[in-house]
Amino acid sequence: MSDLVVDIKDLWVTLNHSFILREVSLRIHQGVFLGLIGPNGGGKTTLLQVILGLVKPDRGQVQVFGRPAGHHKNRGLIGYVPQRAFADLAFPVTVFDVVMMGRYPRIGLWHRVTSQDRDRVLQKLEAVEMDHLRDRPIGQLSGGEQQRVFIARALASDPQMLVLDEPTSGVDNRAQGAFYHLLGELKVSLSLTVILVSHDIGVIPYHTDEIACLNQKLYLHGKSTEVLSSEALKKVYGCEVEVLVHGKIPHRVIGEHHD
Amino acid sequence: MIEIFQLGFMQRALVAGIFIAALCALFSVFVVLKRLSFIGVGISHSAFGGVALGFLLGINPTITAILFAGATALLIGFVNRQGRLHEDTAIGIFFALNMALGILFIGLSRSYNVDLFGYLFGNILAITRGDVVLVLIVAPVIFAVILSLFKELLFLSFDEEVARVSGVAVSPVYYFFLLAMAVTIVIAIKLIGIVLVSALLVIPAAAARQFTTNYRGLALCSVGIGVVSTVAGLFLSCWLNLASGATIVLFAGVLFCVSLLYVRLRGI
Ligand SMILES: Nc1ncnc2c1ncn2[C@@H]1O[C@H](COP(=O)(O)OP(=O)(O)OP(=O)(O)O)[C@@H](O)[C@H]1O
Ligand SMILES: [Mg+2]
Repeated sequence: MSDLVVDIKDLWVTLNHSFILREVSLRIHQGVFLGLIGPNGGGKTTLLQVILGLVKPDRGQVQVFGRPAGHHKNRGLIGYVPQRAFADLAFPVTVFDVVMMGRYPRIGLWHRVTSQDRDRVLQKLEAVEMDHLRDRPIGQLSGGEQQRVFIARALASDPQMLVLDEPTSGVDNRAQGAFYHLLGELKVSLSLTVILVSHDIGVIPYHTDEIACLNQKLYLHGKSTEVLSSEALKKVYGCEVEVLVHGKIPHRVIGEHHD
Repeated sequence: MIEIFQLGFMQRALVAGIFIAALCALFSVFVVLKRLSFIGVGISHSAFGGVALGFLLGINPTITAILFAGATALLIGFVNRQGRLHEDTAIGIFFALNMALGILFIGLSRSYNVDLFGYLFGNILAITRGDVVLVLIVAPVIFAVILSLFKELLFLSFDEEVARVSGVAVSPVYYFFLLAMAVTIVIAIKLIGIVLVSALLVIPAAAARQFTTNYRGLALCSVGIGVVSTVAGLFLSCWLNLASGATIVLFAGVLFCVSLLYVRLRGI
């Protein structure tokens, strides 16, 4: 299929001789908003890093935009918002500078920033409603504002896919609502494919098209509405603390994954 | 006062000093941003092993020093890339190993060498015309390349993972940065000395950081502080007959204290 953005077949990843991901197969089509959920240590970040080409699989095939993950031609096609909170608050860059860094794949080595690059960066800042703070040092923003800037940075290369790793942790409920609304809008206006890792299993189904649940293996992948109405999911979402034991690691189980 | 600048050795020291200071100050921006404050100490002291070997074998010590410093810089980078240890650990190890080697080499050469003290503490009288030519060729080239890699270096200092996803060749840029810093340190040694050169790789940007919240301002201000400290330090050392390297570093230290005061008074 030509509108396949991510095609993972039988992916295995080991780090330090222990399995992190096992026999994961996952297909993501263009324009789909996928919510990736699962317990801590379930391998969600690792799966994203495989898709981004930062972690090499031990076994299996990972095709992104029809090319092996990490292929240089995929640069700029993927915007990434990493999980860890921003560390160095004293770093001497402005909001504008940070978003300009995301423009790098379109600028490249030895080249200088053009006025077109500046226009694109401003446009992304407007899209996340942060253009009024463009000259602020990045360290002087609130957590939610920083998150918006990092989304603008991920958008700055005009990507076709957004990869977001728990972007709403530390963001208040109202801002979270606004954030999902913004993502939905961006997804439609830029016809983006979105992969979003989140622990907000209460809200995720309402904002995504599909949901996948990962704990070493991929336990379920399907339309959010179907997943929502499935009995197994009701068990999990109806009662948030419900934890089933599956193998050695206790985790939330939604059901077996079927292709 | 004017007469000082008419002395041949003083002219050579000034010309070499300005170029070296500007280059060290540019490096200091990334040293401070990447929190590598002790990397200058590690690399310069590893140059000591090279200098001592040069004396032992009767080779130009600058050449052996560049080999030792360059190899150590790459090793520090390699240990860090490998992911299990931080740079500071690698610096602590290679620093000591190279000093030990240097001490062994000095013992083997069995001759009390006055020149060695020039390398350890800096000696502007020892700066030859050839040294100045070397600085005039090497410093502008390194300066230009680091400037042209500025956005890559800034990006990878800020967020290495995202830089990698964006296609910045993180490892090659980082290794090149370390190698260029090693060469810079070696050509700075005759002026400032092995013991103190690392100060020029930290203080300028640290002081400049107090005045500005913008990386362009930081780079400009840092280079300014480095050059002013070197010119003023050289002048004072000549006028008051003090050690040149120490005077330069102390002058930079005074500017740093002024920058701290400035922040307190301005309340920023
Ligand atoms: N460099 C590494 N070496 C060895 N094991 C690792 C490494 N990085 C991660 N792991 C392990 O891999 C597993 C998956 O980690 P990962 O970060 O992908 O989980 P996650 O699903 O993103 O968790 P969270 O919800 O806490 O973010 C964890 O058990 C972790 O301990
Ligand atoms: Mg994670």
